[in-house]
Amino acid sequence: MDPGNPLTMLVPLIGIALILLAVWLTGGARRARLDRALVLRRLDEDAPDFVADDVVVDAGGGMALAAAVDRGAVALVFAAGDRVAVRKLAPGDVRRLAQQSEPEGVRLVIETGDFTHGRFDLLLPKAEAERWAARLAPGAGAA
Amino acid sequence: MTLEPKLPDPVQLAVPAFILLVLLEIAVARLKRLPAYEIRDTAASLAMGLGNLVLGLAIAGGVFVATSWASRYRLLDLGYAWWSFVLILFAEDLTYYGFHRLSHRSRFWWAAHINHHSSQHYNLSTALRQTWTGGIFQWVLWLPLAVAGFPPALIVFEKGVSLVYQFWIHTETIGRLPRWIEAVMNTPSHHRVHHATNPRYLDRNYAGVFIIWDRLFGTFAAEDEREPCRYGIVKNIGTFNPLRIAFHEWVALAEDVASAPSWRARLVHAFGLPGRSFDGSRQTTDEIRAAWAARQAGAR
Repeated sequence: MDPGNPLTMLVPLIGIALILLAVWLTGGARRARLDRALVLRRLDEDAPDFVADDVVVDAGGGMALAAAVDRGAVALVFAAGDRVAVRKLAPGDVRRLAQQSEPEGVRLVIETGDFTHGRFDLLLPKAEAERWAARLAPGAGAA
Repeated sequence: MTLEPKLPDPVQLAVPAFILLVLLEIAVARLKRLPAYEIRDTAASLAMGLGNLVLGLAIAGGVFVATSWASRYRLLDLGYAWWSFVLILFAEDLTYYGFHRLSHRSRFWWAAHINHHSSQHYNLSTALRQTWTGGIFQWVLWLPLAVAGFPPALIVFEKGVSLVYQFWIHTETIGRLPRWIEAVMNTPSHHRVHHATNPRYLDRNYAGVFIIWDRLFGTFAAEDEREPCRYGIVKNIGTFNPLRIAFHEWVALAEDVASAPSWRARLVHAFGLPGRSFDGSRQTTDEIRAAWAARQAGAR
């Protein structure tokens, strides 16, 4: 590589612009939409020891909570672009929990110390939000 | 006396081909209706590649000086004869195999390499999702080639050849190649296995150019059509921010070392197997594979 040659940086920059334009034009700006089946499948793949018996998916389909059948542990499942990621919550992982009333329900905000995705919010019916908030509250033993 | 030929930079020459091949793969994926590319994932991969390029330019001079210094203590003078090019093709590839295996089996090295595996997509842009931090120290593993007697410029050239070779194997649009190629060369099929998180595929196929090293050292796994590859890392990241992609494992390593109860624990967290924990909160790839094998045996 020749740092003095302007083409050394110019060609990659033009290439990046062309590639991103092509991805956008071919429908690359999509997002995963979670449902119960997808949540259970991803838990089975990413955390096979976590057998969920209770799942709630937020109104936008971008995030879900699952509770394990045995120990009451909770996992977060969330869309990362058009793919999905899973976080099993360990005791102490939930640093802040808040509920915000909205016309469509209650937004449950969960903050963890995860460096790559530390804030999660789910729009849920009021009763569901309260039920999961109780489970996730620090000291509740679920999270 | 050996004449110093002016060797081309394979990576610089290949950049236009990289761009055209990515555009071609996007078109093929569109025709086949494959969800191969997602815009934020692609942007993150390309940003990682650009950052690696800039950082590589910044430190290239220092690395070359260090390699030239090691070359002063060379055992042989292998020069630029045709057979030196053949010999370094294999010697550099064996070095790459060792580097790559270390990068998956030691947390410190994994912290620099993990970002290459952090996409859940597997396409040609994933090949460009390169490290921002590894360039600072990974080069030390190539110094023995200089001590053996390969000229520093030849080592740099061959590293470029290896990098260019490894670009095209990051694709799902190519299936299996003829058996003799799959037996000797690293191929898209072999490298899909390497990027997969299915327990049976974890920590397999470290090869760069030739798959023979994995076959020799017992780390080879063939792609099984009955079990499609799932790509990414054991704990997939939830960000497309290049800074977070580049540094997330370093942050996790630092947190583990800071909270470790003893010096032994600190060393294990820093240099032991990735995923090692003292409280059972996470698993190494060996533990994941063993648990999977136990479940398979129990299901029979």
